Amino acid sequence: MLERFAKLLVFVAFAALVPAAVFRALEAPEIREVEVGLDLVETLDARLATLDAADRREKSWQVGHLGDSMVVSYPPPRQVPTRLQEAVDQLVPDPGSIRVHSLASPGMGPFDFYFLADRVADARPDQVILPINLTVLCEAWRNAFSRPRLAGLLPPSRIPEAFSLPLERIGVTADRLLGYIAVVQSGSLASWHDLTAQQAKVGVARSWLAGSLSGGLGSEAEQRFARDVYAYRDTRQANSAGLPRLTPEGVEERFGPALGGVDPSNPSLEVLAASIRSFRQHGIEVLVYTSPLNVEHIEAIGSANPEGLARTLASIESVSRHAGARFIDLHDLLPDAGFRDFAGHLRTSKSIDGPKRLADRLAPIVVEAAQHARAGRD
Amino acid sequence: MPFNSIQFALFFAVVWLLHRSLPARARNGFLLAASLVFYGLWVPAYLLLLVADILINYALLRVMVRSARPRIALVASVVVTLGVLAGFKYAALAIEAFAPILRTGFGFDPPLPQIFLPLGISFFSFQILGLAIDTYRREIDVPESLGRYALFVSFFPQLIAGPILRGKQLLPQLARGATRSAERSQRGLWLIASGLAKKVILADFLLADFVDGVFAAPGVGSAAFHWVAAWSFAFQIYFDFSGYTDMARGLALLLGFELPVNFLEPYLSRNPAEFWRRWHVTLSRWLRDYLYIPLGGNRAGRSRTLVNLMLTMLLGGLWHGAAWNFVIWGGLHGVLLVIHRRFAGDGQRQTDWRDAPHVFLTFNLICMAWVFFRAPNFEDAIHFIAGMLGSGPGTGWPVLPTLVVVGCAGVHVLERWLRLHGARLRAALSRCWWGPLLQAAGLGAVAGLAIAVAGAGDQFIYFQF
Repeated sequence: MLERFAKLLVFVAFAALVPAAVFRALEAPEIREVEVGLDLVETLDARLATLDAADRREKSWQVGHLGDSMVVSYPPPRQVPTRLQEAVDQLVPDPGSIRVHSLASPGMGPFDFYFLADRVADARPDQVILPINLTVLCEAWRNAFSRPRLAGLLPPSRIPEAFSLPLERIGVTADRLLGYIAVVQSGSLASWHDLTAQQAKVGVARSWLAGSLSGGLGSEAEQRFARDVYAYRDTRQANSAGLPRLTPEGVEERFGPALGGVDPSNPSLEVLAASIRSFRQHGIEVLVYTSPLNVEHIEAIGSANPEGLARTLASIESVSRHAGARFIDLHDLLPDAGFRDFAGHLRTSKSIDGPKRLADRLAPIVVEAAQHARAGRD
Repeated sequence: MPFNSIQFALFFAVVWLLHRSLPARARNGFLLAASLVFYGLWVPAYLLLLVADILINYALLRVMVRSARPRIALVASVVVTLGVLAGFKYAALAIEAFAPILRTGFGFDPPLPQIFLPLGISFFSFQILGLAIDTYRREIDVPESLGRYALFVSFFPQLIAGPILRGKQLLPQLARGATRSAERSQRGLWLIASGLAKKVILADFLLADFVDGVFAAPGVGSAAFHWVAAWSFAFQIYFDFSGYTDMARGLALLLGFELPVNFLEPYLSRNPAEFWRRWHVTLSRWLRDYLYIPLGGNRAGRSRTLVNLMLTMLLGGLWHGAAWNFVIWGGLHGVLLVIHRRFAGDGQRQTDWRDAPHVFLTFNLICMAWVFFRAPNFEDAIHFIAGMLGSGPGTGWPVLPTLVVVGCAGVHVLERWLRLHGARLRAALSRCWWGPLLQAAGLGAVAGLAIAVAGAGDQFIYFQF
């Protein structure tokens, strides 16, 4: 009995001490911090607190604009939510009666919308805007940017519904779903975040070690190789004659399924529908739009498939409307010159301001929804 | 639930404690329930598929032993099991293959189904088929109860990535009930610790990153980068899969059951035939007994033997995945086996240092075949092979990855030594007062390291098959 107890004690001590020692070593200044999926919770909570406070303070129509880098990867005054605020203010007699809040973050897609829906709803927005970047229909791209741990934010009441959704497509299997929710419900979100941040730093430490060893042994081959790989990936996806634009291979990698035509049963669309339903259950208006796609360039390089794309857009519209959202298709909003890079981000120059054009199309719908709701209340 | 996850550690702790405390007659029923929960905790809907597969195939087994024409029940079992496997795993490949004909001939562009593969379907399908064929051949009795059959198919330590069990390996143990001993528990803990270390530290933390980098840009780095990446992948997939198997065997031992060995230091093989006796042993034997020998094996003349070998390896490749890459990988191994069979003997003596040139040559041929297994498509594989031959513009040598590969080779040799002398070492450790404490510390350190580096990746490569 005593021996068993001693063995257990030694086991537990080593199981605790080893990671503690590893994490201590990671405090070295050479090992930089890296972003983890759970970081989003902290930044989003701060923005939701602003939204919630505005809702309590003002009688204005509160709009939360979710989305990915297509929405926010611009200087702050040129981000889509800011542009939308300006456009809305020009359409209403009392500027400020509609408030647009940015809840977007790079990589945010339908799975994140679903995981965050109840948390966003707690801040009581009147309307949310959900852009659909067509890359989310491609499995590899969707998974590359997924944040499966956000599933822990789902309230326990959503578990039965979540089991019926294809969350396993981004690695949220049933055991993980239950485990993540249990961690969050037990109030351990902050500790969990710290642990995942430390685990992510182990990968940084490995790269640092590889680089140091190479340098120490008089070879920079690995660093040079890393640069070559980066350049290779870029040239494989994009050509840089004039504006950097996708190659046919890059178009296939990112938009293959969307151009080929997807059905409403696509996992991202199933989860989008569930997200819309979640918001609607809280009485929140939902507006879905398709993010601009460089159709002109895709046609120019011979990668277009109008029938397939039409089928995809019809699926998104059908899924959105059936779940209770308004829908506007903006995929062909901009010409080739309206795009900044091969990733499809928008150009924000004086001659052509993509986010502004986008906001100008969204603003009337937002205003109409606000006026309609007010008329209903009056 | 991957074995290297916190969820699984909690799940297994509960199962182990309850299994110990239950009366012997209730233990198998409890293990069956735990196994079904384990499977359902992946994607709940697919539990229905597993249960349906079990119910239908058990009914067919009963029909087989009672019927005057058992062949019909066997054919039905094969059709049902392979039908389910093909539907989930190979439908997309088949549609892709026939799409050009449909497109040009009939103007119909078939949509590609987006199917999420049920976990372990290739493994439990082969286990079901093996038992059906053994029953048909009257080599084994049908399990007395549906529960025992269901536990044979779904026993959770081996359900999702093997070893692929034969009826005679597990059914007698299930009939006897769990047999525990201090020696089994100690061996089980060793296996779990070594499996965890191989998977988490070697495969995920030390090897995966470099492999991913070079395979993402085939033909970019120097020849040295490509060769080291190919060697790294060979060790990555080995430590990943054998690490999982070690853990599976260790967990089964803690529950009182013995599972067969699946790997016997395959990279110390002197020729391709020996490699296949040491790599994924339970699959190799399955293919030999249920495919190669029924095709005629080596009894129908030299050329027919070579055809049978090729066919077996092509289908073995296809078993790994619904992609042409896997077929090519299987085909390359088929070619290696055919050449070896045609021109060389097959020495059975123990490997020693004199065999080093043969081991080195065999290892490198196997690594070249692995390129087709790992590359996302045929074009990338060809670029990678060209990179191995020096087509890339890069120069230099990857220092840390090379050191890691050398370390992995050392671990591989150490594995051989431990397999031969591990029992004596464990016994010696048990005799010292500090021996058990040292083992507990080792296990704790490995578990702690597994937690620390868990961010590097927690998916087992072989789960996708």
